[in-house]
Amino acid sequence: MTRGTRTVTGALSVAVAGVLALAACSPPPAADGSGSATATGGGSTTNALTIWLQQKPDTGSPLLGGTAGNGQIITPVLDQLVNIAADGTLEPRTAAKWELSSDAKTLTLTLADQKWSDGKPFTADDVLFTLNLYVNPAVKSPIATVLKPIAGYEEVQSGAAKEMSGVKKVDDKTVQISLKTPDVGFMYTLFGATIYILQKDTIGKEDPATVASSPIWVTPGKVPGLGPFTLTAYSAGQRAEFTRNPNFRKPVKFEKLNEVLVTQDVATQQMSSGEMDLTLVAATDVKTVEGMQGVKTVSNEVPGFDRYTINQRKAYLKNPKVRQGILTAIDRAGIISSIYAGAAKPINTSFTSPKVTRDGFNAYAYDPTKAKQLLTEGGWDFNQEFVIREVNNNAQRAAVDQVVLKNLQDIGVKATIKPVDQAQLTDMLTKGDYDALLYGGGIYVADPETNIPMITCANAYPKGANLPNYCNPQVDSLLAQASTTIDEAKRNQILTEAGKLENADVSHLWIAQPTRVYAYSPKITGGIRGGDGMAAALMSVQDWTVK
Amino acid sequence: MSEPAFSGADSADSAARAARAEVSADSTAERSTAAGETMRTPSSPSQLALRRFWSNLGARVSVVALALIILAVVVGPYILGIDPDAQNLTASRQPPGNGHVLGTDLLGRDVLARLLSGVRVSILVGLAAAASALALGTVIGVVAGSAGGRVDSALMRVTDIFMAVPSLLVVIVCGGILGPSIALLVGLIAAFAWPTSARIARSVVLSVRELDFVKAATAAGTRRPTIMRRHLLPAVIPQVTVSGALLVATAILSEAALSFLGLGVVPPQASWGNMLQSAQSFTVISSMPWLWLPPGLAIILTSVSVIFIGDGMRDALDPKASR
Amino acid sequence: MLRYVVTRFITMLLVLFVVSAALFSLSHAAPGGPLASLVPPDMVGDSGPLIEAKTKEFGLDQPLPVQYLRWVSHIAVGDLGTSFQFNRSVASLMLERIAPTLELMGLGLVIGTLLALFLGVVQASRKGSVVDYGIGTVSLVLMSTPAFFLGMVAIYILSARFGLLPSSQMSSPGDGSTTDLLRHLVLPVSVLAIVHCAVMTRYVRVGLLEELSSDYVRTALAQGATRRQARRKGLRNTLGPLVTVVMISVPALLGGAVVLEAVFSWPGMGSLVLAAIEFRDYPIILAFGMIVALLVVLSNFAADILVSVLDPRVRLQ
Repeated sequence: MTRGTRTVTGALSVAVAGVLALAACSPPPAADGSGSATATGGGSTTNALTIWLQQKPDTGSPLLGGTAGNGQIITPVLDQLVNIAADGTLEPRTAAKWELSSDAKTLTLTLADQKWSDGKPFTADDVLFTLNLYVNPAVKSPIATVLKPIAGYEEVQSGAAKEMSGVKKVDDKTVQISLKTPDVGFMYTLFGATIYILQKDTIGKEDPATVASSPIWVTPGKVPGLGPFTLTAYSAGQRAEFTRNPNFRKPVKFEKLNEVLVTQDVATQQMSSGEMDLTLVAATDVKTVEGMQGVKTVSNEVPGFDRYTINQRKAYLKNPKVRQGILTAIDRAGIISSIYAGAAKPINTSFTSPKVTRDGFNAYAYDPTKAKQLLTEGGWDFNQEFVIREVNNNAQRAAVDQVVLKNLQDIGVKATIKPVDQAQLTDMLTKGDYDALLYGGGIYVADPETNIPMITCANAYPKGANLPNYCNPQVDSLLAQASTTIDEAKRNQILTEAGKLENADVSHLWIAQPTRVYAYSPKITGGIRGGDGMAAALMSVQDWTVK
Repeated sequence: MSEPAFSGADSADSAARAARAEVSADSTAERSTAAGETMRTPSSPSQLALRRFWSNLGARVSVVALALIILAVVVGPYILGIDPDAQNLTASRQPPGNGHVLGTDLLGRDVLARLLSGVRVSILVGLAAAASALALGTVIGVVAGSAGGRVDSALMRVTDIFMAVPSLLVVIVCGGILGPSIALLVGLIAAFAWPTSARIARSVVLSVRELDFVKAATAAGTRRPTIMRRHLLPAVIPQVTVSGALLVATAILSEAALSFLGLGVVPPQASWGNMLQSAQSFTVISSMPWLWLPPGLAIILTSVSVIFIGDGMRDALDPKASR
Repeated sequence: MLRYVVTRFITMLLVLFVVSAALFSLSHAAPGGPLASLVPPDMVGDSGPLIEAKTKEFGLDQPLPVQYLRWVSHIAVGDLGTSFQFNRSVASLMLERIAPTLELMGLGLVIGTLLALFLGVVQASRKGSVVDYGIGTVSLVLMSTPAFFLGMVAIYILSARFGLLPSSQMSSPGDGSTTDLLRHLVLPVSVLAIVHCAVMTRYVRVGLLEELSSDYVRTALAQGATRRQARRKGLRNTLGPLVTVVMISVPALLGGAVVLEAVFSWPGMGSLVLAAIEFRDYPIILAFGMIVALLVVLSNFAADILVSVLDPRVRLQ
């Protein structure tokens, strides 16, 4: 190329770049759909609060399995029957009162006196419609199995009936749910599931076959809800904006809510620059945030816990002594003091509900010598590789994996870490191509019945949520017994026995029960109650007081 | 990668310059012999180049700096005597002191020990990737330039393909299939860096092969591979090596960026990139400089030294350079 | 001439074809699939019918070659498909995200280049002085600093510490005014421009110095031209190689600086594609890959044609 031609082509491309840049320099497709957004009134900003959107939402559909991201954009708009708070207490939402009959076969719900966001009256018809929609086989909702104990469930699933016979409208404000067999813990699973009440008039018009992935869920103005807000703007990958719903049971004290999608580190930084009003703070950042001027914190224990699923499909992990040995080798107290910055409780059981008495449970204190002994007794081959799989998107879990890796290597176990993509996780779990995997979450604090899907033989993955495929028939029968035992004291006794067995078996490698810390700006003066994530904090939004 | 590699800009122009330089340097040596006046034996072009290189202050300092860094890497861990992977969960994120010159990280590991360990990896990756890219690129460029015709177009189209495929995508997918490892990292960085070396080599060859002495050799019946080896390669190597210095710097930066994204070096092995990950936390960046300043400064220092050396080499090889 | 254009065009199509096959096999070779993110592990047991329906909807039940042919036949006519993740057309998603990326990269490139031209001229005209060495050292250090590191430090100092500028995204919620947009642009564009400028300054300086010492400039000076006029002449000819480098970067404009978009939570193409890879959203991954490939191949093609048209000395193959 001669100089001349180079100059020509060069100048051309600079011009192209410049034009493109200038053309692109118009305001981005404004979230509210209009060409340019209007700025909020100059000084007074208690009009709007900005909170952290902790994960990217995709479909925003209440009918599909809830991810934290989708949950956080559904929660402001739609409401559930009852909320299980972080400490296990039940809080009325769209169901004002609930009562389980003495034979544990009938659950009666009295609905709250409220209107939909579009002004229509909220009646029992909506609840019936919702429950039947979830169970409708054309919808294919994974959440439907929660409703299995209800009479008429199988008939709807097979197509023999259109509605469940066990769900009846007593009057406009009362719904009666009849179960096939007595089940004391059913209401906890029902209330703990992400079942959002939908309006029969509007959603009833949608085609059940496509409603689950329909774009209406992320389109402002399409979905009336019983929640504290309505969706006014949504920009995938950036933010969601909500406006106060005046028809909510207890209307919130501010006009707009903005959820902004950034990383947790950025959200924490933004507490300092004033761009963020509420966010979850990582354990290691709590001290720094408390040092920020005007910023306050509120904390609570989560209803779930962090643990490793330890693959009991592998022959060498079947012996409980092996699992006991591995657990004893992990310096969990050290992990809590460093990685969790002390903001976590030690845990040695999957039953976090206070209904199970945990004194007398084995604490598996950190003891490398004892660990090695247990492993030898359990027949562990020290030439056997122990593969810890790690999903590469969580810094805290990565740090825990590093500690566990070192702990195990120090006692002579050939431990390694093999990364795995989020997209690969299901395949890996199904094939059982792992020895240990760290994950967290769950809402187990209300009642041990919520633990059933994760530790009973019948629920072994991939059939159910029992990822490690832990199986102790004795534990199963005790739990089954407990679900039909009406006497509370007796039931708790049975549950404690089951807990003792599970503790001795080491069904999972329990790490810690973390405390979540929320930081909020001076714009909020009080009323925040937390939970496991940001969506849980929104459950208290009607009580937030603002300046 | 995400850090643009601009080493390809020194194309035909500097190549022609270098060729002219080679020729004129040759004649300089001959003239002084002919005159018979020089007291010492005539200097070869390489000796002249080396002298010019050493007179460049920046290059001198950088060589010393780089030598120190390499020394630190090789000898340092033994002097320090601390295992970079040894954890102490009760001494998490401690400031410098108490036997830890640069403090400790989240798991109580010594930061200086990890820094030295990371230097080894980052420089290794940088050098290996650059060397592979250079070697591959030079071979392909020389072959393309000297063969011409269909072979040239085909090879250039292959170069196009490699430049067209989005590198990050490939890195993530390969990391997913094969599992991230240092070897994979070196391979991938090299795979996306060789096209630039190839282009440089090819343009050097294109200009050199029009020169008289090459035409004479062809006319005399010298076979193509011999011409490549004896005439083209010596002209290509200096130019390509100069861009190679920049390539090392780019490779080091690419490794840092990829490890930062979690796609590069996997813990517990330390690398500067994954040490910088912790700086994303507000707490770390605002109150724990010992965790991120050392790796950040180390990257900058090493890259600067390498580029200075590259500049020195370029100027040393071209006496007409206007620096 | 025409024959050359036609041959080049055919080779271009061939290259695109090879790239498409490579992209397709590569993305499908990655372990796992889009269904894993649809349903969390503890719900897999209950999601049989959903997974089945979605597999059919995404066309994943067909053998790979069939899927490839189906995709190629669509993309050849410009149909980029529907995103698995968002259930929206890929074209609309990309259009939405391309503007932020072009804005960021385009402005960064243009500002960086202009600044580099200015600084390079300053350096060349004051060669050997403190100013020259000063600018040179600073640009060298900036060139050796990882862009994400620079970004993180800038965010910390200017946003978190002193609250002068917003730290992320394109606009503040509820505010979309031009002032707001500009404030959000400052940090990311500056980081990009600085890094780009640092690299470019070196080339401007070297190129300009070389021109200034060449014969035609010395002749002009001897004939009475002022230094400034000579400099301007030299500058014009420096633009050539400089802009070659800019041209090489144009296809990269599309991918954006993925790392910078992550650091600044900038809703551009880079973050869209990164998320798509994580999710295994094949339509987005493949559409993006093909567009980048198309741009690269087209710009090479255009360059070759332009060269052969404008410079009769260059021999065509």
